Amino acid sequence: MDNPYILKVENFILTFTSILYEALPFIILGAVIAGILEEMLPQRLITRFLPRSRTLAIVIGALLGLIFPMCECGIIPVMRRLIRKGLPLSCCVAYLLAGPIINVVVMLSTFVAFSGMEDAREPGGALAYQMGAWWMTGMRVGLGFLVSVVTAHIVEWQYQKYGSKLLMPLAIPSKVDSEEDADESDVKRSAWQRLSNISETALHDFIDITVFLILGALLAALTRQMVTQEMISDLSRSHAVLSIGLMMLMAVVLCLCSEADAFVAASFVTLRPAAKLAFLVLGPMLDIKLYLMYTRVFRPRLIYTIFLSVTVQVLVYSYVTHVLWECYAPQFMSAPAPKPKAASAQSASLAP
Amino acid sequence: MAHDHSHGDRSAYYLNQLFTIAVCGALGGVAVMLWWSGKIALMLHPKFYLWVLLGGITLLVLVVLRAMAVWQSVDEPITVPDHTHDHEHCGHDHGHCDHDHGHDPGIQTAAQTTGYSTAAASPAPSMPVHHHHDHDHDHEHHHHGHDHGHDHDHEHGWAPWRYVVLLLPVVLYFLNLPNQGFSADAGGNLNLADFKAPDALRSTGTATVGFTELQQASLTPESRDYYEGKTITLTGQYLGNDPKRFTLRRFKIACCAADAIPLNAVIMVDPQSSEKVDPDTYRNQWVEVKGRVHFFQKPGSNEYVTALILYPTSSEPLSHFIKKIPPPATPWVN
Repeated sequence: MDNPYILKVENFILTFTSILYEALPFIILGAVIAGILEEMLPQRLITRFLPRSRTLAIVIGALLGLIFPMCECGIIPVMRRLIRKGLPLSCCVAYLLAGPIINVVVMLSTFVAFSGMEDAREPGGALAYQMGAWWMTGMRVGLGFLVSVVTAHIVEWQYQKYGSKLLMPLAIPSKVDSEEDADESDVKRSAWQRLSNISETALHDFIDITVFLILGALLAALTRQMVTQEMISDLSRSHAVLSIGLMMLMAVVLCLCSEADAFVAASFVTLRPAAKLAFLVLGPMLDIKLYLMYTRVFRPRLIYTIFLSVTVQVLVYSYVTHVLWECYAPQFMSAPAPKPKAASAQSASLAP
Repeated sequence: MAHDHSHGDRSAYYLNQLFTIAVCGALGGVAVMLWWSGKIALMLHPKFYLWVLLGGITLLVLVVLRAMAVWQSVDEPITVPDHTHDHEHCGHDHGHCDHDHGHDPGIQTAAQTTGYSTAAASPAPSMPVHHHHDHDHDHEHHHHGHDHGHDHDHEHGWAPWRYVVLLLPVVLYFLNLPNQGFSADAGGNLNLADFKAPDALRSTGTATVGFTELQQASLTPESRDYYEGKTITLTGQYLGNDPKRFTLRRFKIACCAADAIPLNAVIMVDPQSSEKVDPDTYRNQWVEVKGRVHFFQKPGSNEYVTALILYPTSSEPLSHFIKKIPPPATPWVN
C-alpha cells in the first residue's frame, strides 16, 4: 500500500474520476437540452428573432446565459445543436464563452466566495488590498463579456472567409429551404416518437462529448500530477505579473467547473487580485478537457483562433487591471480596524 | 471508394445502438451506485452529490426510452414525406463513389438517424426516424458521382474505441477505484528543518477547533494569541520520516479532488523527552493527535505556521497523544 508508485497511480485515478463525475451531470443535462432543441425547435426559427445587426446579435448571445444558465461542459452539446438550428456561429461562440460566466449561479458563487475578501490581510497583518465580492464579480462578468464579444467578432470574420469549413460536420447548419420548413411543420409526430427522437439525440450527443471529456480528464489528471497548485502559488508570490500567466496556466490544467472555481481562486489569499481574475475569466473558456470537447464542434483552425484570441485578451486585460488596481486600490480602500479572530472563511492559507 | 451501403450497415446501426444503450446504462448505473454507496464522497464536494444522482437517473431514463424505441423499430416501417438528412460516418471518402443511395423518398431507415452509419439503400424494413436526422459525415469535398439532393455530411459512427474509452470509468468502479482520498504526500513534503520545538509551552486551557480554523488562526496576531498554548485534538494523515517531528495533513476542496489544497499542521515531540515516534507505524495513516498549539514564524518571512507540540510524561506516554484512527468516509475538509 505504501509503494509510492501505487500511491501516485491511485492519486491520479482519484483526480481523473473527480473531474469526470463533477462534469458528467452537466453533460447529461446539456445532452437532454440538445435533444429537446433538435426535436422541438423548428429549423431557422431562431434566425427569425435575431436582430439584423450582427454586433447586437453577438451581444445577445453573450448575455444568453442569464436566461439559459449552463456550465462550460453542458453548453457544448447545446451550442452544437443551436448552430445546426441556424443560430449564427459568432453568436454561439459568444454564448459558449460568456455563458459559463455570465449566469446567475456563477455570479452568485463568485460573490459568495469573495465576500469579505476586501478585509483580507497579509501574513504580517497589513491590509492585502484584495478585490471584494462586488469588485471581483463585476470584473469577472465585465471581462468575460468583453473577451467573448471580441472573440465572437473575430470568429464572424473568419466565418465570412471560410464558411462551414470551420465546423465539424455534425455542427454544420442544415440546408433547409422554406418549402422544406413548411413540409416539416406539417409532419405530426406522436409524443412517443418525439420522446424516442429526443432520447436518441441526447444519447448520441452524450456519447460523442463524453468520450472527449474522459480523454480530457485523463490528460488533466496527468498534468495535475506534475504541476501542483503549490508550485504555481510559490512562483507567483515573488512575481506578481508572472502570476497572471501562471494562474492562467493553472486554469487550463485544473479544468474546474465555473460554478466552483471562485472558491479555489479565493483560497489564494496572498495572490494579487488580477491573477485571480485571469484564472476566473480564462478557466470557463479554455482548459484541457474543453479543448478535446471543442474538437467535436469546431475544426482546428477555429479552435486555435478562439484559444489565441481568448488567451491574449485575458492576459492583456488582466495586466491592465493589475496596473490600475495596484495603483489606485490603496487610495480608495481604507484599512479597517483589526478585529479579533477576523480571519474570514475565505482566507484559508497554506502552511509553507 | 465505391462501396455499397446496403449490406452490413443496418446491423452496424443496431450494434451501435446496443452499445450506446449498454454503455450509457452502465455509466448511469455507476453514477447512481456512487451516490448510493457513498463513494462519491471520496471525489466530490457534497454540493455535487445530488447532481451526480440526478445525472445517473436521467441517463437511465434515456436508456430505457432508447431501448424501447430500438426494440419497437426493428420491424416497423414508417413513412416520412421528407428525407433531409446529414449522416455521420467516420470520415470516409466519397470523392469518387458511384454508389446509389436510392432512397425511397417516403421511407427512411433508422440507420439514417442521428449520428450513425447509413443503411440508405437497404431494402430491409425501415425504422422510425427523426424527421430531420443527420449522418454527420466528413465531406469537405462534394464531388460525388451522384446527386444526393440533401445535406449529406456523414462520417461512419461505428468506432469501437469510443466505447472502450467510455467503459473506463465503469471498469474503475468495478475495480473499486478510487477507494481512498489522496495519500498524505500528494501535496508535496514540508521542510520541517527550520522549526525547533520550544522546551516549554505554557498550557492555556483547551479548545475545540477544526483544521481549517487552526490554519486561519495563524493569520492574525489576535487569533495567534488566543490559541497559543491551548490543548486541542486534530485528525489528519501522517506525513514524515523524522522520529521527533512530522506533518499532519488534510486536503481542502471547493468542488472536487482536482482542486484539493493541502492543509498542514506541524507536529513536534517535546525536545526534552526521550520518546520518539516510529514513522513506519504511522506513515500515510489517519491519526488523531493531541497537543498544545504553537505558532512558528517562518524564517525571513511574516508568515506563521501552525504547530502542535506533544509533551509526553511517564504517566502519559507518546502513544497517548498519537492514535491511529480509521479513514473517515469524507476525507476532505470542505
